[in-house]
Amino acid sequence: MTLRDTSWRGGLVAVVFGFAGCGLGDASLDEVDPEAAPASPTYEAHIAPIMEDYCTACHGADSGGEGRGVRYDSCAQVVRNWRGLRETALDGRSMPPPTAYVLSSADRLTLERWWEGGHACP
Amino acid sequence: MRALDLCCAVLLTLWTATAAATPLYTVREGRTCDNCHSLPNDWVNPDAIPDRKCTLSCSGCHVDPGGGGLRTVSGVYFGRSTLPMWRAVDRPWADKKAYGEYIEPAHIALDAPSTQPADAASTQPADAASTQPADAASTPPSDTPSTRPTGGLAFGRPLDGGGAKMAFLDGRYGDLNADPLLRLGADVRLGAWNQGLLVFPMQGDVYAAVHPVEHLTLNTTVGLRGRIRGPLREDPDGQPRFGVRDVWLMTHEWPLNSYARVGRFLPQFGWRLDDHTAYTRRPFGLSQEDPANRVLGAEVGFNGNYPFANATVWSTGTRSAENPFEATEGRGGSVNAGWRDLGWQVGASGRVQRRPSDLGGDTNDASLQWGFNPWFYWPSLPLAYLGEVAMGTLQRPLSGHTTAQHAVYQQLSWLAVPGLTLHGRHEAYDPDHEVALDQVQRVSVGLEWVPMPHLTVRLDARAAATPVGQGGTDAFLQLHGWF
Repeated sequence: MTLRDTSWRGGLVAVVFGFAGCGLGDASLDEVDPEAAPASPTYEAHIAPIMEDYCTACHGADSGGEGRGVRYDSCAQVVRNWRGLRETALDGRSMPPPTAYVLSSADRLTLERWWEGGHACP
Repeated sequence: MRALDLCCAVLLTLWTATAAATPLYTVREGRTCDNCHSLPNDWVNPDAIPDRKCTLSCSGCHVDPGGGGLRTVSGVYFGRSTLPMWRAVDRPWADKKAYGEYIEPAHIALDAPSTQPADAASTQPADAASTQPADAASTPPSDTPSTRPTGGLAFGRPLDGGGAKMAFLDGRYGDLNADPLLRLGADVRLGAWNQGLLVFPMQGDVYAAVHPVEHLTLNTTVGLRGRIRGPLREDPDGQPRFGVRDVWLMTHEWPLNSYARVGRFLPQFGWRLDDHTAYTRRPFGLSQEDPANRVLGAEVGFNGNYPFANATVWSTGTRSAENPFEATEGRGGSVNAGWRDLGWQVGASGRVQRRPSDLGGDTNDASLQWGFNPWFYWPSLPLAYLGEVAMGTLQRPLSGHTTAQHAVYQQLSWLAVPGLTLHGRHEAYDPDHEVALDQVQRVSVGLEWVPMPHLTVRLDARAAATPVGQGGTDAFLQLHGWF
C-alpha cells in the first residue's frame, strides 16, 4: 500500500499552518471513493452494527429514560425515527455526541445508501 | 443487564479506591526529587550517565515501560505523598533511623525539608533532582526481617536476593517494599456521563508482577473488557467480559534503565493519555479499552537520564479473551525516541502496520510530542503544558483505498493547590483528508482532585464543534481508585 503524496502534503499543511486542525477535504466520500461503503447495505449486516456501536447505549430498550424516548434498537424504530437520525447524525453532527464519538464518513454513507435503497427491514 | 452493570460498578468502587498515571505527571513532577522518593538532598548524579537511575519516563512510576497499569514503588510513593490534598503520607525522613543501614550514611540528610507541590520555594536544585547514587545500590542491604520495609501490596524478596544496581532501593520510600518478589495492584474507574445520565464501570483491572530474580519480571493484567465504543453493556462479539489484557516477560534493571520484553501489551506511540476518547488515541488504534489494540510483540528500549528510545515489532493482537495469544496475519512495528528533561520534553514516534482489512488494514503513522514545565523555572508558576500532533494513513476496509487522518492535542494544567489541578484542553481531528466537512474540534475544561491517597475525582465539561454546526456539549465525571 503506497502513501498518497497529497495526503502527506495536506497533513503537513495542517500541522504547520492549521495547528488547530482545519479540515482538508473538499468532496463527499461517495465522490472520492464510491466503494468505501457497501453498494446495497442491509439492516442486519450493516445498519444494526452501526446502531449498536454508536446509538443504542442511550437509544435502546434497556436505556431507561436515556435518549429521551427515541430508540434505534430495531429496524422498525430506525425507520420510525429516521428523520431525527438524519437531522442529527447525517445533515448535522450533534449525534452521536461529538464530544465523545466521531461517526465515520463511511458509516454515514452506509446509512444514506440504506435509506435511499428502500430501507428494507428483515 | 443494566442493573447488573450498576451493581458491578458499585461493588468495584467499594472494592477498591485512585490516582491516575498521566503524561501530566511526567511533565510536571521533575521539579523536585521528593515527589518520587525521599532523601534526595546532597545526592548528585553519578558521572557515568548509564548509571543514573532517575527518569521522567513512564517506567519511573509504572512497571510497564510504556506506562499505565501496575505502579512501581516510586509510583506508589508519589501517589501517597505528592498527589493528595489530605492524608498524604509524610515524607519519611524518620526512616533514616529504621532503614539507614540500607543507605550510606553520608547520603542521609538529617534535616532535609519536605516539598509538597505548592511549596515551590523549597524546590530542589536541578542537579540534585535527577538521580539516586548508583553506588548506594551497589551494596545490597542485608535482608533482616526486623528492618526490611513491608508496606504496600508488595511481598517478599527476589529468590536471589535482588538488589540489582539499577533496581529501586529500599529505604527511599518509607515503609514500602522497593524490590519485592511479588507486587500486586488494581485500577477501578467508575464513570458518569450526562448524555442520558449514564453511569458505568470504565475499568476494573487487577495487576500482578513477579520478580523472581534480579533483572527479570513477569507482569500480568486481567480485567473487565470494555466495549470498543460506548458504555459497557452487552458485549457484541460474545466474548467474556473479564479477560487477560497484558502478559509479558521483561529483563530490566540494566544500565540506562534499558530493558527488553516479549508478550502481549499495548505498543508505545505518542503520549499515552488516560482519556481513551482522545483523538490522538482511539482513532489511531491506541485506546487501552479495545483488546484488539494489544499486540503480541517484542520490545527493546531504554529510559535514561534523560534520553529515551524504544523499538517494537509485533503481530497484530486479537480480541479473543479466551486466547489472548491467538496469532493473526497482521504485522507492525514502531519506534519512539526523545528527551525528557526536568523542565521540558520532546519526543517523536513512528509506526507501520500491515494487516488484513478486517484487522484494520495498512497504516503509516507519525507523531510529535512535547511538554513544558514552567514550574521548574519559575516557582510561582505551577503550570504544565503538553501537546501532540499525530498523523497517518488509513485504509478503508471495503475499497482498500488509502487516505489520511490527523489529530492535535494540547493541554494546559494549573496546580491550584496541592491535590487540585485545573486544566484546559483543545483537540482537533480530521478523520479523512479527502472528505469535506468531517472534522471536529473539541475543547474542555475540568479538574482533577485527589482528596486522599488512592482516590481521584475527575470532572470535565466538553464542547465539540463541527463545520456543519450542531456540535454538542457534555459533562463527564470519573472516580478512579488504585492500589
